[in-house]
Amino acid sequence: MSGDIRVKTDIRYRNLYNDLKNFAVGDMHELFFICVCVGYREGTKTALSNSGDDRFWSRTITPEEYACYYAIMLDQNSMDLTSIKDDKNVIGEMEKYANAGMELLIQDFLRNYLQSSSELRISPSDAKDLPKDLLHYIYDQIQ
Amino acid sequence: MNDADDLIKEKLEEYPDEVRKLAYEVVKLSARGISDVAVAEQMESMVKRIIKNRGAQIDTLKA
Amino acid sequence: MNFRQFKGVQSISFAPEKSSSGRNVTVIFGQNGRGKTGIFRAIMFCLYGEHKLSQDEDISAKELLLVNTAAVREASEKGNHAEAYAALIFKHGEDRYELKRSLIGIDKNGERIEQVESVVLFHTSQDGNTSIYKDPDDIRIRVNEILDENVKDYFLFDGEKIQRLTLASLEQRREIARGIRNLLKVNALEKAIKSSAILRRQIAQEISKKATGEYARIVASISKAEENKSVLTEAAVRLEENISLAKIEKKKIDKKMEECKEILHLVQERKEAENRLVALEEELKNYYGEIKGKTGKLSLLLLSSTVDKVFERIDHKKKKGEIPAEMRSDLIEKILQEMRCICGREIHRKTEEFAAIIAWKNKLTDSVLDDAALDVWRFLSSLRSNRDDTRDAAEALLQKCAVCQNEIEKSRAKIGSLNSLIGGSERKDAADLESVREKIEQDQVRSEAELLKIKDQMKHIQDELQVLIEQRKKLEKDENLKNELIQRASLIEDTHSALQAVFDSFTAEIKQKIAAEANYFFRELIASESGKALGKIIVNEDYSLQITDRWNNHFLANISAGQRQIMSISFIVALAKVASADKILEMPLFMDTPFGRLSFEHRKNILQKVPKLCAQWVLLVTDTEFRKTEAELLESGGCWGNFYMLSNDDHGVTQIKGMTISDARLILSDALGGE
Repeated sequence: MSGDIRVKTDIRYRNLYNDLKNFAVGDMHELFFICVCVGYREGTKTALSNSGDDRFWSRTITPEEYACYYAIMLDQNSMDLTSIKDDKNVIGEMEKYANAGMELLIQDFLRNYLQSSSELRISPSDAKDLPKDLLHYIYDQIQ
Repeated sequence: MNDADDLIKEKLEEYPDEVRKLAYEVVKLSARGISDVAVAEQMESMVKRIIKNRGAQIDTLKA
Repeated sequence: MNFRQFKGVQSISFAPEKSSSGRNVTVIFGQNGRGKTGIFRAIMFCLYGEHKLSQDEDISAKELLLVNTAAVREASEKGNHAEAYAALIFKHGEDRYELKRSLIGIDKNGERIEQVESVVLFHTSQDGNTSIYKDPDDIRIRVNEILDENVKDYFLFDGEKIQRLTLASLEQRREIARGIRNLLKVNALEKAIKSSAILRRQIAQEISKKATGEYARIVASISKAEENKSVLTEAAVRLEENISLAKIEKKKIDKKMEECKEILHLVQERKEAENRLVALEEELKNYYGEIKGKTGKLSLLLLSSTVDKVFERIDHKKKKGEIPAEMRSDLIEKILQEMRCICGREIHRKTEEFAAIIAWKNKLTDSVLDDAALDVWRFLSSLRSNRDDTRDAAEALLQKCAVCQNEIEKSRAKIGSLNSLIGGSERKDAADLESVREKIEQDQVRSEAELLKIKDQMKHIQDELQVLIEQRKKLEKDENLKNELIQRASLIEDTHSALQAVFDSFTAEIKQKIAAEANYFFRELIASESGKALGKIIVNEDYSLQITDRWNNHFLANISAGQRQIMSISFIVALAKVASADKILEMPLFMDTPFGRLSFEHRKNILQKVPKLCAQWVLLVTDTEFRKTEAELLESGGCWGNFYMLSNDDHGVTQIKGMTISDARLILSDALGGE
């Protein structure tokens, strides 16, 4: 489980990641994980625009999260163990799922919390209940 | 020295030598009740001295 | 000499520090009015030139006379002035100090005039060199470095007026907070940050005059961002003050409204509802904090089917012996390379053994991958077994939030209806007060919203600044840092950032330390029964105190004077411990009539435990609170050093008389029955 990889997200979502980290989740790697789960569950992945924007170090990814990323790779590669050999490759794939996941989150959930439809920033005055609402959103998805 | 001093020193440990020493000197100066501007002036002298010593060290290595 | 009730030259020697003789307690015994507080007053006058103590708020400086009246009268009869002084010899660390502050008093046409004459400080350092200081400002700076004058009143415990510590006004709390921050070097850190910011601005201006191209653009952007940040910071401070003042004004109005009997019960009900609302909002905030750590864990349930599928497949391979492989691939490689079996026998191509080895090799996977697969299996197994708990925990948390939000809505509705009732009251004064209160409330809500916005903007600017500073550093590196100006700027920038980072974590930690120590001492000193209903001491942002009950509700208004006193003592000892060098109180702790409000068990705890917590303890006691029982308790700890009795002579002047402890015990009253 490599710790030296810079995990990237789409540059369009830089501010959104920062805002959500302040308002709704504990750490960046958690938010990234949530986005990967949302994206993978829908079966969508999207390449990052312009080679992406550094977000956090892979050393903050927990072993459980890494295990899930490996599980995703094994599932999409018919259990070929070589698919989890290269962590850079694994992270690269997860970045695409996370990118798609964030798009879905914005469409389905976050739009009510944004400052404006064009500005991808959380409006502080609307964000009071965001942690609970996000948990609710995820909870509803698993029912 | 006191508990608070120890805590400040401990927190400055993770910084490079020059920054650590300079920061601690500035805090000591600030505890003496002189004005912010006076502290800034003395800090400027300390910074100039540090940079000058850097230059002297490089020259010594080169020589 | 000639200070207050003490005519002529009189002196007291405080029992020395614990480390030298173990006896560090001095008892100064005397009836009310004999001059016990006068001794502390002499020390404060000597150290700071202060005429007044905090208890003298309502007395003007002119009325407070320091020079002994009899001495002034005698001198005036001869056409002279009377001289008085207070002198103090003390140690701080390894250095010795002798400080003397003199004043004169004269009766002129029936009017008493007093004037401070001079002050001199002798400082003998460890190496034996003595420096003499006569400039009052210089002396003030040096003394404040040892003990800031804003916290001096903390070290005189006045048993009668102990409320000050826990019921201080906003202005008093600000002053106290300033003093405490000085004691704890927080002020010094803040000042260091301000000064380094001044220098940073200056050098940025110098650089912007000389810089060109991309570097100039970045330097200009940083300057602009810093300026905006400064403006926003000032705005935030103003808003915070407005919010504080609004809360105080509302409290004042509520107090006035309580006088209106017709609506008293409504006002009280509203106060309770508002307190409940605050508690509920705090509870909800805590739940949201918990949620932030749970959402990630819950998300993995979105991958349940994938987790199960992959887990089962690896499990199947495990059961079939495919993972881990029966034989390691690196061993097979070694055998094929050396063409020799592990038993030593040579292997030849085109033999059955060689074919079997090749067949094995083809079945094997990389051992590293085997290990990785096993790790994945292990973690997925654990995730699967915790799935239900994770879901249940999330569900429980959502339910708690829902209940809490429901209660919040109910509280708000109740407050709303109480507001209408109070506002609609037939008493015009009550209705007027209510409408003022409503306006203040609205202003407060607006300020709070504005403050949130500003904090958000400040965060954006900080993020922007971080990026710009990194870009600037990169360019400076590319410039090879030859430029001396750039080097200076870089060092100042790094130092400023370091100070800011240290400040943020330092203030949080120091407050936690004080609270932790205060709670420890509180438990040591509070009587066991008395402490059962109480939770913990909380140190607020401004270093004012709060205490909770065991259900975590704010409870300060409900505790007894005795409990308040114990709480204050605990805070002082904690404050001094955190601020002191050798883990004990450096400043002698004075307690003036500390036992008046305290039950026997509290007194016992204090007499037995406080001497161990401080370097020197000076008890100023009356005859009714320090009797044979108290003397025995103190003596049993082995810390009692000196005893002085203050008594009036025939001319009404107080004489300080030192006595041995055994003689002292003879003059003390017997204990009351039941102790």
